[in-house]
Amino acid sequence: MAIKFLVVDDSLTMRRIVINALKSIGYDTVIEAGDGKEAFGKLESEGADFLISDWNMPEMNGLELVKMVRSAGSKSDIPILMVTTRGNKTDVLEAMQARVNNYIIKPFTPQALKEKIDQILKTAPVG
Amino acid sequence: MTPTIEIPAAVLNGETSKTGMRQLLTMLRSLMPVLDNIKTTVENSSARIPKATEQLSTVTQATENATMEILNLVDDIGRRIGGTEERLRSIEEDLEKKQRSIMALMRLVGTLPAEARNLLQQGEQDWKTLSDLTVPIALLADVRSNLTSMHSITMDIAMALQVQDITSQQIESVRHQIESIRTQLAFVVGQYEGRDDEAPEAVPVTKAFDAEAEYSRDGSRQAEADDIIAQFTRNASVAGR
Repeated sequence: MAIKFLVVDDSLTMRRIVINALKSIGYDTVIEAGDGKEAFGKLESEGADFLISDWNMPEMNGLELVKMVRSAGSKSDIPILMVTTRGNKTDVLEAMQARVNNYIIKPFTPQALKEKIDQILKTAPVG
Repeated sequence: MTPTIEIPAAVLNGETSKTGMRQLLTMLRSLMPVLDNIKTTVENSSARIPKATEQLSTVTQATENATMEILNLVDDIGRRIGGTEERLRSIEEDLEKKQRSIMALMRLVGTLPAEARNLLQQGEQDWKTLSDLTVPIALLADVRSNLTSMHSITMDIAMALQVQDITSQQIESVRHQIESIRTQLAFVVGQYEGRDDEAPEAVPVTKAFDAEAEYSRDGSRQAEADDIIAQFTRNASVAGR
């Protein structure tokens, strides 16, 4: 089964980079959103199997999106990977408490992305 | 020339006599041009801030455009490399097929009548040369390996472009700080002019940013985050028992 990814980042270039990295490791089915609000809407209307989200975004930031998805969404168990520049202990802990499955600090490599996705899929299989 | 202000001795000594008060008023009057001068400087500097912040936004936009152009080119190179790899693969398969056919033909030579075999043996070297496709196949494999490396390099280029997102957040942070300073200065000038302005509120964030964003590829920040996650997961697991 092809895993459908939802990539959320307010930076157009970062969305493109994440999508390129996903394609390079064999994941071709990707939809995208520019902020948390749009992402939540797309998740509900178009669905996705795996959420990759930035933290700092307008309208609804990544942490708010995670909390909303976990508490109110129809896909509350979707695997979530946070990809962000925020790397201090408080941020990482806050994200984990909000129930992200894993956390990558930018800049990342496709290999690091693959490792995190594989780790998540081992414990939280999609479908 | 910068004006100097001398505090009268009477004021310093805490005298409240008429002379002291007169000296204090004189000193305050001498302060007025200095304060006016400061106010004008602050106003002039503040007036330049919007242009400076606009220039910063322009820089961000320009780097984003350039990054998208580079990503388009990288994608184009990747597509061309992918196309060439496919073509090479098909040539390799074709050569291997030909090699197998020639080998089969050579095996048949042994079954031919002596006359025909003698004729063919005269051109044996040519047959051998024709059947030996090992070198071109190895060359093609070498080219394909180089193409794979090039593909990996284009991916490294794309990944290095994350610097644009990180620097744009740093620029946005600076822009926000400058705007906050401008608001504070405008408030101070207003107070000086006797206006009853309310204390300024925090400048709204128009574009999300992480003030501590940094472009570091040594992996130490990720390693620290991984440790925190591992610890968190262990604690959660213990708590869940």
